[in-house]
Amino acid sequence: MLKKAVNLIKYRRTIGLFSFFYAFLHMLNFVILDMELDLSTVLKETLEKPFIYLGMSTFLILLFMAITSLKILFGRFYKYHKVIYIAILLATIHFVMAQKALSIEQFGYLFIMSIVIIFKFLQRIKRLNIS
Amino acid sequence: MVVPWIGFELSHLIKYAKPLSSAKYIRFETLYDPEQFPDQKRGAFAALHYPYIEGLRMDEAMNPLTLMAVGLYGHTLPPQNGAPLRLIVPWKYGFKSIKSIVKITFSDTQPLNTWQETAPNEYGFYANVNPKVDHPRWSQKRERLLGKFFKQDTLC
Repeated sequence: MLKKAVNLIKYRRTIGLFSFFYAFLHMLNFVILDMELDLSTVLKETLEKPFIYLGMSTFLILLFMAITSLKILFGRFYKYHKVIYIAILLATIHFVMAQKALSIEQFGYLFIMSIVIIFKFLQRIKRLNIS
Repeated sequence: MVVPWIGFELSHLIKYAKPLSSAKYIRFETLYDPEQFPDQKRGAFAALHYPYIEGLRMDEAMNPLTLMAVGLYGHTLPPQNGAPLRLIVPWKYGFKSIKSIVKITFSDTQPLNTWQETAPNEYGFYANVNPKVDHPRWSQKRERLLGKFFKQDTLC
């Protein structure tokens, strides 16, 4: 539906790599400034706290996608790039969990996320009907 | 936190107020003024129920370390630090140190403080600093002193 107005697919790789870059900085912020490179604590916190492992899982998905976006790998791994929807979902939950209490900003992100989910759902139904 | 607060002991104020011997708790209330506090203006979308409430058990309130602060670093309190009068309880997590107090009452029942009301699974009434007990979402074993770049083991 949106495709006719703006062809976002052209910018897919750039947007994806930017997301990975920001997530990478965010992860370094946690490991360097917060944990002060104490890797055993990083691992312990990651395994223990849902808030942390949701974030780390999202980062690993983005890392996988960044690596396999290289031209030589893209063809072979393209079909797995749908995991971005899992990453978006996890990142949203991670962001909402970071707050002490939900405010209008978090409701805003949750609202945007539900629109994305509804759109993908409608798209899937449409495709099923065609085939 | 190590901050040069300026103020007086809460115990002096309590002695001056002469509460009944049945008073077991002290309850504080922050100013409710949507013109000054942006989140209070958001109505149903506000992060918390206002006014903000905190409380202490009477013996905690009488502890000589429990301060009513009116200033810091040689100046009167700026609005964001809780002007004109705030509580300081050094051995408790920061949310206990209620700011911009406009009302103090004594009671024989434990007051329901705002954070316990909002997220009882994460915040209780006592909230004493304890590095051995993690917050559900993060560790509290280490802390960064104001003005220091590197963290140290949490003092308690």
